[in-house]
Amino acid sequence: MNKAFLDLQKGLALYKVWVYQAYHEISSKYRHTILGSLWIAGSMVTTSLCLSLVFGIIQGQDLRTVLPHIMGGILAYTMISFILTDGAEVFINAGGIIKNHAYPFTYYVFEGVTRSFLTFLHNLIVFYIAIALVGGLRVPSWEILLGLPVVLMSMVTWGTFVGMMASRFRDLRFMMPYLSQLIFFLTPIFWTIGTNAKGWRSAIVADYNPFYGLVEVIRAPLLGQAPSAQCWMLAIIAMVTGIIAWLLMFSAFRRRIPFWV
Amino acid sequence: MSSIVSVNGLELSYPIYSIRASSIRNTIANLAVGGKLLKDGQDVIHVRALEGLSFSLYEGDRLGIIGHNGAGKTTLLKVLAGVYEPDRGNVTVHGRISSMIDVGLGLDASLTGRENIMTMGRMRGFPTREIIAKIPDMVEFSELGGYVDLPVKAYSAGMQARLVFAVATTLEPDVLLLDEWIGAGDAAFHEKAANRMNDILSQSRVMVLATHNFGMIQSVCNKLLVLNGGRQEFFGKVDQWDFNLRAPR
Repeated sequence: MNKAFLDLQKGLALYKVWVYQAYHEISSKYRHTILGSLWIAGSMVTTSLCLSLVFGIIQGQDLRTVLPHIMGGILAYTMISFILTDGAEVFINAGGIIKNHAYPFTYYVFEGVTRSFLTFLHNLIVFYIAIALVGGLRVPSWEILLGLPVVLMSMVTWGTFVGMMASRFRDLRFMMPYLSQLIFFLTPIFWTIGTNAKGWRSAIVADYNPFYGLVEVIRAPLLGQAPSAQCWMLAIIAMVTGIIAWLLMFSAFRRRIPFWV
Repeated sequence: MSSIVSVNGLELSYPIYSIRASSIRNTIANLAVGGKLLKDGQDVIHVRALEGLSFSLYEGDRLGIIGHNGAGKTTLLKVLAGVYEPDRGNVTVHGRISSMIDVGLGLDASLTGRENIMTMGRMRGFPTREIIAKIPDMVEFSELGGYVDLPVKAYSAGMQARLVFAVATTLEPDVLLLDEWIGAGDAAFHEKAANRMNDILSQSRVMVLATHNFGMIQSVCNKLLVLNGGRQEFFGKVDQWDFNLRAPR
């Protein structure tokens, strides 16, 4: 247990390194392009435009509400899905370094989360440009300042857990991204629950879906609304269970990581 | 005089995972049959790599480690570097460690040499200003010239080794860990590296070198550790060991 916290402390102390590394890794890919790192937002823009077109134009819903909702949802989920996608690879990808240098293991997770967060910030700029263009601009709610820490904390803790599991059981590394896709479609990210879903249907997709809570505590404030109490509850449960999972997994099996990667 | 490196009753066995054990399907299947398949040692093999090692190193000590292939030399270096945590016993290292266990690994191939120097320096806890001040020295020593601003993937193996060696030795570690001296680099660089090593050693720091080269040990080291199948066969001064008879004098 103590060693896990020592690792955490050392990892935090290296904040300059992981912020720099994360930024570098993101920006170097887009060198020599006109839009630069704003290209990161490309996939979010494309997906949300396509979905907005389907729901807005073909189904005749109001683009001013549909586009911000869809884009905000994808914006939030892109960051949160770190847990299942990049999170599964944090340790595997750093295998060469892990086997040769005794850097704190938390470092790799912090770097990955920072990368996802920086991507989120890029996407956020494009998000505001897009919703301004369709006339759906709103002042964000202050609750984003609570939502972000809860989400980031869940990403660090669950990301570590998934990263460790995926380096021990290699199938998970390939399974997780598909799980992420499944959750993307099953969670009200680009659609709304409406009034149709009741009982167990609503329970699966929203009432007990931690991903829905995590998405909502970011999306709702961005759209100028307050997240529902239910969503706060889900998000906070995700964070607290994450901390517990981290404590158990990281303190018990941290020293095994060099053998697993 | 307090020891810089102290190893006490070190024991380490490491698990080797077969493809079957790394697969979640088999693991779940094993749980269903009571984990018998895993427990019979077929899938996760535990190799007792190090057993009962105890020694201390003081200011200015240069320890050579010899032993057959698989005797645990590299594993011991990795334990000293902090990569592996011992199962039993304890390892205390006072000071900054610089390891050159696997040259090249630990470099980020997509970053330039200069950026790699920054990262390695920062990871070792040096302030940015201090690293920047030392870059010219490293570039000069490694003879990389203009290559330092190219991505590391454009480097030859020798150039990578020179870069790592320059960083590891310029950043003044308290404890320097070396596996097989430096594998790559041409003859001229070897000589330069040997001179640099002597410089570092004269600044009375601790070095640990794992090698098969007895001559190297006799000329560079003052202490010797002989490993045999993960056990400590001998630890003491170099001249107390008879390299021909493979026994203490």
